Amino acid sequence: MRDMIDLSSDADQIPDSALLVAYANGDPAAARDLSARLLPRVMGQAVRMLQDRAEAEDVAQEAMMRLWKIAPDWRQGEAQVSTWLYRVVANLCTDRLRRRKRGGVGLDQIAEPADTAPGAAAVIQDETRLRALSDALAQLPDRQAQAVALRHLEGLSNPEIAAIMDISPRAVESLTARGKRALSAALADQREALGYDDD
Amino acid sequence: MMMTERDMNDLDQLLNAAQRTAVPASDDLMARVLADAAALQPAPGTIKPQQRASRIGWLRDLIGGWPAWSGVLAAGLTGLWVGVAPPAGVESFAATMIGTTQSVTFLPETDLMLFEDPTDG
Repeated sequence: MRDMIDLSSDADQIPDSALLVAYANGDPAAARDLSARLLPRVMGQAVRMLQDRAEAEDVAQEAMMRLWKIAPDWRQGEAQVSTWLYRVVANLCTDRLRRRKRGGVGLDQIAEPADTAPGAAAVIQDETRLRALSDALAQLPDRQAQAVALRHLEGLSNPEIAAIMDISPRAVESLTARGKRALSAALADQREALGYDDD
Repeated sequence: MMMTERDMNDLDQLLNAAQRTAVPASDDLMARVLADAAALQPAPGTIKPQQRASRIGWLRDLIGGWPAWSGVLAAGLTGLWVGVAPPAGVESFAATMIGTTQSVTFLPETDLMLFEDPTDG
């Protein structure tokens, strides 16, 4: 593939799927170009859903590993690489959230950082709230959690989410509405612990 | 617990804050991902052609896809029709070329008599 397209001139113009096929054909530079393009997006999605850097890195590495494995069988034109990756990362994250829920790690079990510098308290509170949001996502059914995350954390449109989750846009609407209500109810129980009543 | 408009506003703010969360991929993660890619990358020229979508795909493709097969089917049906009920022109042409023709009936008249209603006529 690479001998047919001059990738060095403007690599940004090459579709992800063409780079993936180039990788499958043995092009040594294709993996580097694809990773530079896709890994930040994959990592961002995982961090926003999990609010845990170490876990997000594991998910990102696993998602990219699955991409390398599927490369030889990738059919250009059938699916977008980005759509496929959103789905894989969302699934891997809900797997992690389920495990976290079973493990029962609550807010009171997260170690308090020792930083006492001015402004540190606000930063800690923000981090605690974001982690609580992630833990509340873990309480939702997988499909609701994925739909809410793709809509409200990734900012995707209903048709985009429908393509990722392989459901209708109306089903996406229903899942996000129910998911958001459940999320709000889960967090309402922790208002005091999250410092909302002090605001 | 009752959910209030205040709860929903807090959630919206929290979701907005989460949406802004951006953690760049570390160099270490990039190195691990590239190491995986190198380990899993097929050697050039080892990829087999993609499997055909259907089991009869090879047969369909043998003579050029469905349009070609429909032509084969039409020719076959026409040949069968000419054989069963040859038009007059074909018989006279055959007689001219071969010199003689032979008619074969698959349902002799004596057999057909059996199906006639005995009370009729």
